[in-house]
Amino acid sequence: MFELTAPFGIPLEASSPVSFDDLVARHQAMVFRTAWRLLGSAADAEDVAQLVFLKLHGYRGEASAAWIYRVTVNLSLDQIRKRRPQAEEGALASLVAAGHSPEEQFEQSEKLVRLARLIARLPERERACLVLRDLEGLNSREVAVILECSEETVRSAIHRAKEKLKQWIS
Amino acid sequence: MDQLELLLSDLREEALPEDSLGRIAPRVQRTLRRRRMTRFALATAALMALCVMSLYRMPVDVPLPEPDEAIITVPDLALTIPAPAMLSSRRAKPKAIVVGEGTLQLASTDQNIVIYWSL
Repeated sequence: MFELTAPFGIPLEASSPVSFDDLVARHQAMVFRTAWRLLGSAADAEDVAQLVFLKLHGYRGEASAAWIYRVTVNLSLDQIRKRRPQAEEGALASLVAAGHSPEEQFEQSEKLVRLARLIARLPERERACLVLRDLEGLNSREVAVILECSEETVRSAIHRAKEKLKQWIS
Repeated sequence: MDQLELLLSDLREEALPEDSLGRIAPRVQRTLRRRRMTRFALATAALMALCVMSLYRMPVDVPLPEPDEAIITVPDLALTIPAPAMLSSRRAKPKAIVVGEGTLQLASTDQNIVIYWSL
């Protein structure tokens, strides 16, 4: 699931010296996917991905996969804060509608739309932890590095998020 | 695996919208190109401003004339050719200004020419 050319926390350039265009090509799916799952809107995720790579271009330090994830999450959460709640819920619902024919969408997405809406109701920290670990496939240690908190905080945030989701689903 | 885990698993498997994904790199490149052009334009403008400013002379203190001598000085050669002086009315005769001990700045019909007269 974890498809990075650089091991987590290791500077991207150090693992394999590449051009900026190569970095964008290699990591755009990861950045877009994370932003898309946090925001729900493909258009907003495109904006965030663009900002992430522009920051990466201007960054003079050693950017690692963790750094890219952190910037993506922070910019996505900034975007969420700017939105109105209704708009956000609508955007999350469109997460599952993209990329399918209308028939497929109708059959498959009803429950997923509901789940996406419920995830949108979670507090920022719980949502970020859940998306990074359960949708992005990172482990708790990696999520803790990205969100700059302890593993225990990540685990308890995910536990709380899942309890809420289960309660809301039932 | 409970219902929530199944749903999360389905959500994880959702395909990314390819058209959005394909737009990211061109957008980044376009923005970077625009930034480079802006920087180039600003640098060019700054360079041109420096060139233009270097054409102008810095104001220089004019030495006052010796007794019974006059100095006629043109403060700024970069200015355009002065227009012919307007005829002054008799009532509005310009007066000389005392600029130093025994030295007058005489009235000039041309603003670009200053005449000092030392008594």
